[in-house]
Amino acid sequence: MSENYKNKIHDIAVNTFEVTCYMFPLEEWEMEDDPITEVPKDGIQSVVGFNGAAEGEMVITPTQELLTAIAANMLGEDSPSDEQKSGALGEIANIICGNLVPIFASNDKICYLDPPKIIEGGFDDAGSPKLHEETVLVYLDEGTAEITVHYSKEGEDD
Amino acid sequence: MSTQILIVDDSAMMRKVIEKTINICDIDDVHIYEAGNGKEGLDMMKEHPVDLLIMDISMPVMDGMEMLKVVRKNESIEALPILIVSNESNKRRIEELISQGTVFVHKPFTPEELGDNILEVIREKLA
Repeated sequence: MSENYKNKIHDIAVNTFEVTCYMFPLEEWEMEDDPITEVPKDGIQSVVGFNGAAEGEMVITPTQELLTAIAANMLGEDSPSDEQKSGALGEIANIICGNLVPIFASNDKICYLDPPKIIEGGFDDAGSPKLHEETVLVYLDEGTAEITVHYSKEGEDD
Repeated sequence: MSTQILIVDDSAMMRKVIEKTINICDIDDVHIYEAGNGKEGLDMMKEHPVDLLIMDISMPVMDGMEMLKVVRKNESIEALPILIVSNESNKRRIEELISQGTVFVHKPFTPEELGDNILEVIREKLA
């Protein structure tokens, strides 16, 4: 089941980057010999909490070059400001999270999203020990993003 | 006479993306207003009557569902064309929105997809 969730998270993220930012996933042969296995957490991250039919949060951590490219491609500007970079990352996080929460919610029940938060210098992802965790890396032609989802399904903690 | 469009979204980035899409559409003489939530949007419409409302659902202060209810109950604007741009994925919620006469564009969207929907709604209003 975990691999199934990872694949769905990956596919939703790739589709969002492709449609919104004109970025494409790297094929295996395009990857470097030593691909990134963890994105540095010292830059900015966006966190979107969700509740209702499923509860938890999604954290997205882009590499620096991907962060710049997200804003540049969304706005069509060569040198986006820091504020634009944060806004673009928050919007991407919001879109990805909105599309992935239904996979944790049963019977088409409703999930509610919190507004995306921007975190600088590392998100405390200790989370609740009761929450499940899935982490996927998304390799794109303009950089790499790490997406971590902490979640519990409705009724699981009753 | 210019086409007046109001964009209501709490994300300044998304308002900008929608505005850029409108600007590349082939619409003569368009004027765009912006608001960050439903309440601000309703206040703005009192001062500036609009031809098309483009809005998100999930917003602070007054969300899109609430704003939609207020618009549809107000005789002077009840028939206003409304285009919802949202990442809402719950089928029942989407059906509820469409049943109230809105056009639903799901995020992520391509500029062509959003642009085509905007043009279609405007053409229907002008027909």
